[in-house]
Amino acid sequence: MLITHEILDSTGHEDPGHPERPARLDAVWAGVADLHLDSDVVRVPVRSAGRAELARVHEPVYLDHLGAFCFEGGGELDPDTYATYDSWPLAQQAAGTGLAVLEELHRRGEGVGFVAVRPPGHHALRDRAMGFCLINNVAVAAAALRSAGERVAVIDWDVHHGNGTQAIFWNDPDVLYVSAHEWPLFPGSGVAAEVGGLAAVDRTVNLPLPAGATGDVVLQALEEVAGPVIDDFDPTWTLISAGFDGHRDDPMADFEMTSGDYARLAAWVRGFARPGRLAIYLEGGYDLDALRHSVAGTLAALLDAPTPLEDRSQGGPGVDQVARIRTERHQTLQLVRAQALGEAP
Amino acid sequence: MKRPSRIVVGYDGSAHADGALDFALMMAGSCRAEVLVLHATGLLERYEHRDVTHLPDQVAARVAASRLPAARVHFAFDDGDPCTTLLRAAELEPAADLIVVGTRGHTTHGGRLLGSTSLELAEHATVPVVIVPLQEGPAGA
Repeated sequence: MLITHEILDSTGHEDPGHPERPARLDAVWAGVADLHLDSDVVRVPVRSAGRAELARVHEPVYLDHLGAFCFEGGGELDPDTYATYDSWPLAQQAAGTGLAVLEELHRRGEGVGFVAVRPPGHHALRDRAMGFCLINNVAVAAAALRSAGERVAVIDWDVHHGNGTQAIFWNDPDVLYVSAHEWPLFPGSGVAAEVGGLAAVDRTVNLPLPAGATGDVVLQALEEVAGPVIDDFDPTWTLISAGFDGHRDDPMADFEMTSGDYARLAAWVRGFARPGRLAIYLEGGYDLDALRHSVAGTLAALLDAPTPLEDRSQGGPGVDQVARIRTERHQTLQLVRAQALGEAP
Repeated sequence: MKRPSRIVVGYDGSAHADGALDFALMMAGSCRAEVLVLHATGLLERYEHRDVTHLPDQVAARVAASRLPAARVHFAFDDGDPCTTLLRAAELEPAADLIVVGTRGHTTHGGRLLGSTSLELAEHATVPVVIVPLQEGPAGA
């Protein structure tokens, strides 16, 4: 069963010509429709996140400034990121709807959550918008679960590193952040040596992979490097920061993934996520056809729904990089653990 | 406060950035500092296939017009937004101890209060930040 929400009208958050645009959501919902799930879909109402819910991950002064900035008409927040008059209420709805889906999942105890909202979130920092992102939707969700005593794994397969999510939970031992991403690439963070703060050593797993990486390499990195960490962490909830800009047709980056690869990644997550405790949050994905097919592939794998998939990609660069990531993480963890114990020089 | 020994200046090729660069070069000359000229490669720059290959030459021309030896000026591209990349340059070794930016770079909407790179830097930086206003006429004249 797919636990999702009423369609969010995001047309008020648009900057003509900007790739992060309302049509992205049309493509996503087309991908859902392709699965013909019919009665197996539950849609909860869109709702706004309250200030206290947002303030778990964002500085109140930032929320005030963002709201005021939008109320005054908006503009550019940085060279990549815009806001309009409507962006503030839409961002509140995006984050709140992510919470509403979690609440419905919790109430039912079954199904897969799917949150298709914009603007996306994983670059948004505690006190700053960045990389098309205003409010960090998946972080708001993870923080809500965290406040209820849950252990949350965030699996981020957007092609860009989710620097905002990483930073927000850097020192939180009850949130595990895993990211497989192209590197070097915006935002420049996400090297293997970033393993978490002193209070949360080994709660951040970064898998920086080269341009041209194919789905088999991304999966290998997740399975071999992140897999044991996830097993050890034993999350009670799993959230996917699902960007689809690693698709070979996406104009933002140079991974060579296909809809079949996203289905395979989703199947991998399904293997460790607890039933009824898995939710997907839309991040990037800017080629509309690729987005549609990748969403369909991801949900098909989680819901056992048949759908045509592109062949899985393989043979790209990065296999050697996986070994280097493992080595770099091991060395860094030794140093950081010694530092945490006060043994470092 | 000690004299700066390593200055980082944000550079996007705009007239504002040229003014900031000229100021940084002047400061470096008087302090015998090194200058890192940093261009932040953002998401839209890649998406729009903006050609920024001319930026190092544009910087080199301004360095040549200054009195600073070219060997003390370095140019780099870094992935990220301007604020993040400049803060990173001030944190990672060899760390910069002064950040110089123009009041705004290339913008579509004209730059508003929140998100203005210069003000974000002023709020977050742990080293001094110089915000150079756009000069009337030729920068540095």
